[in-house]
Amino acid sequence: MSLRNARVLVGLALAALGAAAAAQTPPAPAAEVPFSFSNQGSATLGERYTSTSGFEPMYLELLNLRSGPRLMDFNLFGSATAPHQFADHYTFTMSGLGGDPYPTAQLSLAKDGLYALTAQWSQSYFIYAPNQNVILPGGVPALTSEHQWSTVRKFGSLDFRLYATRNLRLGFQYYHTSDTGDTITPMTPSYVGAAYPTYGFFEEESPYLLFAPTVNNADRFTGSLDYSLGKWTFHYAAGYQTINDSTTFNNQTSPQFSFDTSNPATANTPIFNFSLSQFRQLTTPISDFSYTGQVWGSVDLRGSYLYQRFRGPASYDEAFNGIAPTTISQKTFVPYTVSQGARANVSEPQQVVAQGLTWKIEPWVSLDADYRYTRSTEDNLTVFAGLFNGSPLASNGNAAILWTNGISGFDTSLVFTPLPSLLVSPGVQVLKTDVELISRGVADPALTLRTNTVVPELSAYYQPWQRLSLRGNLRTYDSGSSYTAISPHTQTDGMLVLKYDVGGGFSLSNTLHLSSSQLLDAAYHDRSQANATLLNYRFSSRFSLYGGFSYDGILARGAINFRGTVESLRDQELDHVWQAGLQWQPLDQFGLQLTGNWDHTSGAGSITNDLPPAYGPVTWPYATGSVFYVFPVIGKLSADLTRTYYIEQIVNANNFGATLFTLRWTHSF
Amino acid sequence: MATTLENGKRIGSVVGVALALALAAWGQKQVVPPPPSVAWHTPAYNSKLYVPNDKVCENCHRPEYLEFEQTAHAKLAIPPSKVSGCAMCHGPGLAHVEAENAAHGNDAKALAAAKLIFDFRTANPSQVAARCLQCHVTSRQQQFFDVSAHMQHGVACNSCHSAHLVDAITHPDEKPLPNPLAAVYQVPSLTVSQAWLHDGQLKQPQPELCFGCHQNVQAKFALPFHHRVSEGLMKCTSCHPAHGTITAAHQLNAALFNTCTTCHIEKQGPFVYEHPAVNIVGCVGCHNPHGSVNHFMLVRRETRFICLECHTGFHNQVAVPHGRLGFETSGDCTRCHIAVHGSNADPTYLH
Repeated sequence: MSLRNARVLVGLALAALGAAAAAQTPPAPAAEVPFSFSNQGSATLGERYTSTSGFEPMYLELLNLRSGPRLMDFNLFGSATAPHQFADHYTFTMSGLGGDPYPTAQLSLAKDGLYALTAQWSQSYFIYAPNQNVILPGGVPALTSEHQWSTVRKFGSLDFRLYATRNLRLGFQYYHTSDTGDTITPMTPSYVGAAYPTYGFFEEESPYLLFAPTVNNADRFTGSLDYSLGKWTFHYAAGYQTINDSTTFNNQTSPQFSFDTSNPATANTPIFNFSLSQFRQLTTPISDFSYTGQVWGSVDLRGSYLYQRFRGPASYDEAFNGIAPTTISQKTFVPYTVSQGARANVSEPQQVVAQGLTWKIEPWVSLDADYRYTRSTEDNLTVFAGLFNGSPLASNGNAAILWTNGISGFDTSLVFTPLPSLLVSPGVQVLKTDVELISRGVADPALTLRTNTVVPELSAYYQPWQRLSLRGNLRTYDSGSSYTAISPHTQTDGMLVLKYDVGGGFSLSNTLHLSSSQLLDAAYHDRSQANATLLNYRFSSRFSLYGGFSYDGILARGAINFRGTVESLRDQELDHVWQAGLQWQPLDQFGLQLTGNWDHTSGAGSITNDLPPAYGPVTWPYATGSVFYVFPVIGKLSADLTRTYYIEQIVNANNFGATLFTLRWTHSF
Repeated sequence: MATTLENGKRIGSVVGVALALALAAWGQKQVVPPPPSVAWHTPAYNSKLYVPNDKVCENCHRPEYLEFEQTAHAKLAIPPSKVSGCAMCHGPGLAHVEAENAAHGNDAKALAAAKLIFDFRTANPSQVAARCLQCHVTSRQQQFFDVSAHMQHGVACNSCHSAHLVDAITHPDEKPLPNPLAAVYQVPSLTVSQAWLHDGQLKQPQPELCFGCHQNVQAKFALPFHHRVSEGLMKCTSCHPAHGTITAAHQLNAALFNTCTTCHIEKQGPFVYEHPAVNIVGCVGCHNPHGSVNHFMLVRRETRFICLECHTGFHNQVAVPHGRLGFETSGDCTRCHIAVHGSNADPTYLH
């Protein structure tokens, strides 16, 4: 918590209290005061004390709640008390200001029948700095990703709606987001198209840690129109979006060595200078139309058409020099210099056309039929130019790549509602997917695939009596082939949700998910099972508790071909989550609340004849106890205590423990 | 402290801050979000079918009436020639009123009288949706609810929304217990009745409302790495259209993979060299967007296992070009292939 943040916080607190005081001041007669609102709201100020042990960066990645004063919550609602004001209502809310990782603020203004305006802002801080000094059981270094990030993502939006007439609404929306911050990124200083014997074996496989600050942002402006005429309604929005994405990479020291200390050649292969700058800009016009209407009393039509086109230039400029081996044997090391760059133009129009109808055949049965065609076409061209030790690279020249991806889908289903408590909907989905890749004018058979898929599906809802309801579905999927192992060509999945109000304050709910998928010609299987149960007990409005347990397991099996050596892969993960909570308020002025969560994951991945797994069982418990007392005039004082641990079983370098104690004062006005 | 400022007078004394907020929420004219519908469609008023005004309904249904009165539904500028108020949703009520009056405490007759007006609690989901969609079909967000996944599973409008939140009158300060992660972050929450009024008349705020059925998703959000929904930064509806869509598959807000890139703009293509797993399968091929025990919400404990499940050398997949047990296959593949989401310079995603 910096001094500047503290000042800001104090200022906000004073502003909040000032607003409270203003809210409690009797307003002057409405006709004489142009800004006359009745106000109500509350403000919560607090101070958090955080103590951590173990590997703190992991705590910052997971929770990032630090010590210091905060404006935890502020909300103010107002309604006009006099006519002819600029707004009839307003709301203003803020939370997490002063150093918490997810601060937000929102302002809304509205005048009935004329306009509504909403402005929002929020931020999200992200820290990723895992411990890189990880040693496996047996003393083997476990290699990590080596990446580190400390970035902040910001979001802002503005939404203005103007009620032009009783059935015409005009709108204007603005959306902004950005992601900025510093990263440490590994980079292999190879040049495009480098061949091992030419360049030397070592450099291609030796990553160096570079400092890489990144800045990207997007702005989108949209105008919209909503119009309703009789049984027909039309919506149209047109917008324009710009994305700018920029990152630079530089060596942190000179000379700098690879972090691959397992290779003795590392000591002989420094880089002296490394600079890389990459930038791209995408501009996107957006057009979005949709409608609904009724052609006859029993037939409703619906449709939509979406068009957006991402297009823009991209550039890449890189220069580096150092010392590298000249042969695979890594016995001779010589200086080298590489400079290379690329200028690219990318373009991707996306279109989605959808048209559907609902035919209400009888009061208890209707037919839904929808057709959707989605198409994206990427037309990308890049021009490479580079030098290796002053000689042009073999890869210099153009690369033109054309991707087309078209999906036609037809869904039809019948919806039966023979009883008020029963809904059954059998249906079938037919999909035709065409993916084609043309590189330098030649179709790539490995990345071109046409599939036809049929997906029968059954959905149902049944509420045999008021206290019990069941919802579920079952579907099977067979495309006859598959693009990747993770889009397998057969899949069966189902879901069942049960809710049971036992009575006497007890309620029970359970959710079950099952999925099994296969890619037959690679002998790849992936199964998942998940079940979650929640029990609630509300003894009275002053005492309630709940407890829940969930289980989620995946099991994947396949084979991998490592340069001719085929090994078996098996990966299993079992996630268990227990949750419990209790709320007790024996007096109007006094109450307490306890909530806790216990995550435990077991299982690990393994490859035959490979290193032992580095990542396996994890345990992450956290619990919070809160007690409050409401004092006359002053308001509500709360004290919260949270305790948490993060425990990885195999590699414990990232483990941490933390205690958080927070005092909060809530004043309502 | 019960406080009323509408007339510029401060009254009442301290009886409990939380209770005061709820009472204030009843007692004052409320800040109501604008209605989503572009236009309302209500039938012509007919004195032989409809009661003259909502005061008749209030005689028996006072709690419902008091709460309904605060909502945008009650503030629609509907001319006298059209049906307004309770009858907009419940339909003609004169027969119901007359039968109730004639029942004189006879339970059987009262029960029969109750069936003479549309009751959302006993109607089937299709009927409920049809009632609401009379007007809400004109809303950009709700126009396709009729064919939504929710609707096909019997989740009707009144499963999530309440036009009058009677429970809030019974227990004005009653709030659902926060999920444990929300308690860690002390996510602020309004009273039930205020939250209801300011957030689409939802019975509970998100995400607790959605977790009521999607408990397995709640469990995912409780895992170490997750989108910050429980922390209050996002809502379920940030990504999912609860009212359905016909533009996007998989119940997402945007077509293709643009739901994710709305925030993760640096991942937005096109790239000269697309990673087919991203371009064809999408983000969920490698990430579990609700939460995971793995960094970056990846679907496997070790990052390389995700890569090695596709890059097997079978079925037209590019084989791993590295030998077994090498430096390259022992750690995360992204240690060198840093541009796995797409590259404008390198077909192997090293740059």
